[in-house]
Amino acid sequence: MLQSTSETVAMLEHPLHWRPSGNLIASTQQLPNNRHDVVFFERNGLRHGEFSLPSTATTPIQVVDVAFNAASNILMVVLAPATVQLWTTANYHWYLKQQVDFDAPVSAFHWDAEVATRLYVATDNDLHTFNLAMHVLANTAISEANPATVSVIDGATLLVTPFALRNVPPPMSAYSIRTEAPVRHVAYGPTGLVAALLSNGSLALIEVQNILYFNSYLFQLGL
Amino acid sequence: MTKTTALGLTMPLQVAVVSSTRVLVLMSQEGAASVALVDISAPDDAKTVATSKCPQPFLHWHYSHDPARLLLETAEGSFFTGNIYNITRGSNRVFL
Repeated sequence: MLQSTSETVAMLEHPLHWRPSGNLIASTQQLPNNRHDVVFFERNGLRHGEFSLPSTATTPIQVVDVAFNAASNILMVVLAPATVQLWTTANYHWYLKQQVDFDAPVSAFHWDAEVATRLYVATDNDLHTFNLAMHVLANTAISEANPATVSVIDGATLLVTPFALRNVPPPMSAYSIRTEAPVRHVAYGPTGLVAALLSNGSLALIEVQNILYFNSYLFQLGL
Repeated sequence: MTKTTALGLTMPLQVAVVSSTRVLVLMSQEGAASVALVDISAPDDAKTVATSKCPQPFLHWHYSHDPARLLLETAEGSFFTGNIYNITRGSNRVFL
């Protein structure tokens, strides 16, 4: 029995996955200017949000498939030829949490049906098993100068907030740092150094200076 | 100010800053854990000075500044430890 039909969506692509929690259906859509979106539909066929995949002006994106994990909190996007992206959402914002670029084309991929954070990816050469875990990237150094910095990974952008100085609620942040590739992990040094491991195997070292103390001035103008 | 160096590491997973001049990078190679010690004394020219392997897949890792010990917990429940500074004296040292 037909329950509902969506409106026509231009350039809607072949990937289609029903979120296990049942409230969303995910697909992808091509748009002008090399833009590529992951789009969501409600069960009644109405559009319900989207987010854009990061792209460059010269390299068009080719989406192979999208798939939610069993807990419905991680969305895998597989790109041709050998890239897997893992997205999560919070506060109505989609974050690119991890990007893995394999050295051989991805031939198969599958979320574990029982362990929601386990992902299997087969390439032409190897079988990779990923056990994922949520981790808070916080500076826990025991120091008076520790500004209680917390970082949030959002693809090639690191969202940084020193909570001892600024209480900025997510998805906003006190400031953001752009890197040349998606960030995989972050660690803090003893002297304001931030080390970001990138998905392309590079190490980005960020010297955070002059953000620990803010000076405020009150000028009284004699009238 | 951001300075990026391509290390050419295979499947790097996590990073830890152990001092102002040393960074540890945990990797996964051929189903086993591998740790690289990176010299960041020249931030725009970081260099991998040593690598070390754990014979089993890792589950969790932890390091301490003093006495500079590295602890790897494997998925099978066993532990492997190593001295961070020993890694600098030889590559491919197995944690025992």
